[in-house]
Amino acid sequence: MLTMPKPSDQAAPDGIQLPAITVRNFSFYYGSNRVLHDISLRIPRNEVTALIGPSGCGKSTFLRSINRMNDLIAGTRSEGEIIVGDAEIHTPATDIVSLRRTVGMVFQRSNPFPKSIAENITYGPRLWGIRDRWQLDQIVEETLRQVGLWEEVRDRLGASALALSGGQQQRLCIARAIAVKPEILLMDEPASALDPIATRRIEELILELKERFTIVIVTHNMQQAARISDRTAFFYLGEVVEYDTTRTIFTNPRQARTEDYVTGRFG
Amino acid sequence: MQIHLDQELEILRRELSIMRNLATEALVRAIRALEEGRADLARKVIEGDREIDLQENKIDGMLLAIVGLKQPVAIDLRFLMAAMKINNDLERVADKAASIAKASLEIASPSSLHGLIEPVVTMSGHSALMIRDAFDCFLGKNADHALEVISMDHELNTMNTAFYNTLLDCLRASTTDPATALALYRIASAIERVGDLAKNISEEAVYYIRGEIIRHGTRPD
Repeated sequence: MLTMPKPSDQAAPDGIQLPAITVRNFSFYYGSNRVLHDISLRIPRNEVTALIGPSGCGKSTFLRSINRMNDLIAGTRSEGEIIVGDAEIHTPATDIVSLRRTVGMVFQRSNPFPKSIAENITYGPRLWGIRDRWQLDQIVEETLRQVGLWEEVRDRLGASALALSGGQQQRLCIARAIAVKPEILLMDEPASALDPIATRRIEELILELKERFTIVIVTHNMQQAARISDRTAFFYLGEVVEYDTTRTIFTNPRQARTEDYVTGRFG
Repeated sequence: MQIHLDQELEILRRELSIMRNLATEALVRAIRALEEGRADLARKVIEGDREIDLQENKIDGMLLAIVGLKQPVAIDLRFLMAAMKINNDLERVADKAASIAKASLEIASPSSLHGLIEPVVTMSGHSALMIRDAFDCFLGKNADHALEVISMDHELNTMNTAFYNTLLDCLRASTTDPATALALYRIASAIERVGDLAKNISEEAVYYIRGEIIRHGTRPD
């Protein structure tokens, strides 16, 4: 399992004392097509960082680079560094399974396993060798409580996860992701397929979860990024045009392209 | 969506311009009522304040709808925040005009007040110019000139202090009756306050254009 470094006393120019993720001159290629250009940024621990930008700008590719999900696509390669905790993750020595335990992921469409609610939660911990029934039950209750689902499903833990509503399924997927106690949660438009009530619950959950996890979220919903994130990175044509506090990005961005995008004047 | 927002912002600019015209016109009329001793004009200013209140409410309603329905951000949000305050500032300019008109009704014969009306007219012209320029800076996105308008307020304050001393001299010399002097003092104070409101509008213009809060002598972190 990757480890997180201790806080430094040194002042950081970007105000981030303890980055969970440090990206240095990172570029990414699909074949010969360079889709990310020399990205450098630091993502702070226990904050929500939103990645925004028009379709095709590279934000999802960047997100998936943080736990090397792009490795599943043939013909891809990267340059530069992504350091999670204190380890560069694009090295041959990187333990991918361990990386993905440290860096969990939640996708746009809820994708529960066709198993019971409880089995969805215990799947990861079992893979990591936990067999004790009492301990697994504890994990099920603890994680379902963390995502606010416990009271809704406590009497039907053996029921199929597919019987849950869309919003409940997405919260179950978040519970499944945090059941293995990751440090970082990546979310790729986690509420885009949900109705406003379910979206609100997911947003409230994200704000609660940041106390324990570092969250990086891709969203096309500008208001959602403004509501839930502490920092926002604006991606355009594979570059980070601006990365700052969400307050700055949505009230007084420094770059004209950022202002044009967040005000809906292009993209 | 953005096209619709731009259209609504344009309509809002027009309504704010109407508000500016109504408020400055009330101020100019109130001073003319004083200068010419015209009670009829003073009463028109007082009665006209209602129309300006309704215009303020109309603009407030538009602002609320745009913020709630369009959820603007960045420069659009700053424009709306500034417009909200400027709308209120202009309504207060109109209130001051009504106060001047009411005070002018208490002055029996302005033509007998040699040397006391002219400074008030000069101050009034200065304050009206400040309102016009501050508002033009807001709509024309001219932060540099908005800062110049703010500095114009010092001049108005100096004129007000000088006028106050003149009134004191008149009272000491018993050349002006106390009731008239008090009415003139209230008028000069109202004009001085109009200068403060112009300064507020200029500060809001700078906030809208540059995103810097400069009220109360503060600078952004």
